[in-house]
Amino acid sequence: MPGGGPIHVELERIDHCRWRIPRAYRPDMRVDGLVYADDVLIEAIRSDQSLVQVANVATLPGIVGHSLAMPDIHWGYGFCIGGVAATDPDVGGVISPGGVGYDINCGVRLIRTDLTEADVRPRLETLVNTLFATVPCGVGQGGRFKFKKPDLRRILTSGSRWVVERDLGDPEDVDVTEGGGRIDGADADAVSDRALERGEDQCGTLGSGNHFLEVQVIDEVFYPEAATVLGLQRGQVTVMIHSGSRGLGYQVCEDALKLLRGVPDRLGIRLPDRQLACAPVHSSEGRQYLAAMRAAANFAWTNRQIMTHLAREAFSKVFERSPNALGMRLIYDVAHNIAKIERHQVGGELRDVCVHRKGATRAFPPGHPEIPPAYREIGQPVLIPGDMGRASYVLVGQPGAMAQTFGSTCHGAGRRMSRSAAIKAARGRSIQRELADRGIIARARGRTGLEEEQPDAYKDVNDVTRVVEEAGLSRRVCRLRPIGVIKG
Amino acid sequence: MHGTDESDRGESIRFGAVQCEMFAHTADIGLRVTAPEETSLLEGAARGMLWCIGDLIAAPGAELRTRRVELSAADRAELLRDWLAELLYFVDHDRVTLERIEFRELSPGRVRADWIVAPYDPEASRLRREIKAVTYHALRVEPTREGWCAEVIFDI
Repeated sequence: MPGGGPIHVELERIDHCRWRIPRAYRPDMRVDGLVYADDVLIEAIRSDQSLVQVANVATLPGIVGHSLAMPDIHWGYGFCIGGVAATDPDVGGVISPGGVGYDINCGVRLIRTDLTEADVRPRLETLVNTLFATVPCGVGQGGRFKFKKPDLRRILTSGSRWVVERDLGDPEDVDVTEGGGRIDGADADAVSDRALERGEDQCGTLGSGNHFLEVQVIDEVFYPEAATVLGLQRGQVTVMIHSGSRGLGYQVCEDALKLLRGVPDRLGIRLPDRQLACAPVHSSEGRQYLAAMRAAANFAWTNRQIMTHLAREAFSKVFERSPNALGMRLIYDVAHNIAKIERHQVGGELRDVCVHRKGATRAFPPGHPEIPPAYREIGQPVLIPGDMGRASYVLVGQPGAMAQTFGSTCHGAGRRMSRSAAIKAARGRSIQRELADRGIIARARGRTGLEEEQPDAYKDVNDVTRVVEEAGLSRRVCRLRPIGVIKG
Repeated sequence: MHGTDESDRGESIRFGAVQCEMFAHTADIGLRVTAPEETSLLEGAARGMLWCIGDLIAAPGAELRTRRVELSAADRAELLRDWLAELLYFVDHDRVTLERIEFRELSPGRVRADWIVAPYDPEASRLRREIKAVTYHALRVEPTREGWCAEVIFDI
């Protein structure tokens, strides 16, 4: 029986930040695994079962290139968190809901302000309390906005633009959201009534777990030219929102996994993990999942858009100025749990492949046509949340990502401690007080949220972002230090 | 079953003859349930999942409702997962907690039961975390010398 602890996987070192899991590790692997990590991070990665999951993904039909793992990988379900896999639909390549996860289009957005820490610090507690009261968060928390099914269906096909047109955002917000806040091919009819019911009052809610809203200060700029293009500078206050598609997305994944039962057996696909259930992209089941997954992704972009509106409202109330007067402009919004059909070089020719990013961020390089025109010269912004005590990062995509990882990079710091271990480690301590001692005001709805999500539960995001920069996947622009945190 | 060394173990609770214990998973939470028979395994797993979410306290004077559940699956493990996923849907959408279960039929791939549920009071309840989903990863239901043991990992 596999245990909960590490399973040894023999790695071949390629260079200081790349490791290979050779196909020889398991006869059913179709491609090598490729793991991005330095000497420190690889030890954390070896301590759980994520490397086995990288090998498991390498068995999926139609996988091309490598089964990829970013430096923030950790043990997930099916795919590891931090995994990237591309499959070629024209050679029987599959799509796997496990390669996207239950929280479809979980992602991050960053909003800038004209405020500095000196402006915010005297009113920080009021600001955090106001945000906590304004942005619904926590288990079972419905939102201020309730959408009946006809409107929900419009959101599922139109994405965040639909609510922006109803005064829940600025038109420019859509321009700087990945894909314009919408993915083509979404079909509301592919989404079950149950999923719609779960979404009715959850659009505009944060949720719990690792989701958060943070008030941050830019404390270091590494790439000034890119920071200038993005409108970011040292000392500036920003707001970061991390959330996804809430119950609607979870139900879409749940429904898909039931739909796919029996498909692998029928097609003679042997899976090392039931959670890797899959179907060829070109099959009816594959197409149905893609259509529903895209609809859930559109819901997630809308969810983050509504929370942006609520955050602007809270800032406006506390600072008694309009969001525009506060310079609250959206910098970017990225998905990090999604599957997309994208054109990439495979074996020397351009192919349309299905790129699964499960806890990984798209990182297209400068000049890519899918980057908003205002940012095209610097590369696609990449938003990397760290932990609530240390830092988060803004990076931009680099050419190495297209060459090595199907235009992908890491998505966060990555957990290094289980939730149980984090709760044990927090016994006798007040994480809230410890954060306050570091100048960070935190509010959490759940009883164990701060304990499970304490900074020590995560790898050091500074290490993770350094590795993706050294590997040429993305380049650090600036670091963001948290000063206010709200969690579910 | 999953590693049972001390470092793997989290909090535990008993519901009569049923033992529920959280076990370590890096990103999510595992639940291990041991029970003397299959009905108590299913009931214990349901109560164990709600315990992972928090202390869900029924609203005072809340009217009890009956949810009839009929599920079929390929094997015991899949049936257990479906059972929990169905309950999770009602907890998330209807915001109810489980008062009791009345089993009508249970066979290795099929269950029919009535869940007697009541709306929970969000103010009085002490919620710990949201469970997004009941995963298939490392899902197990196995007979033991004492009865049955199940393991399931929840996406948090």
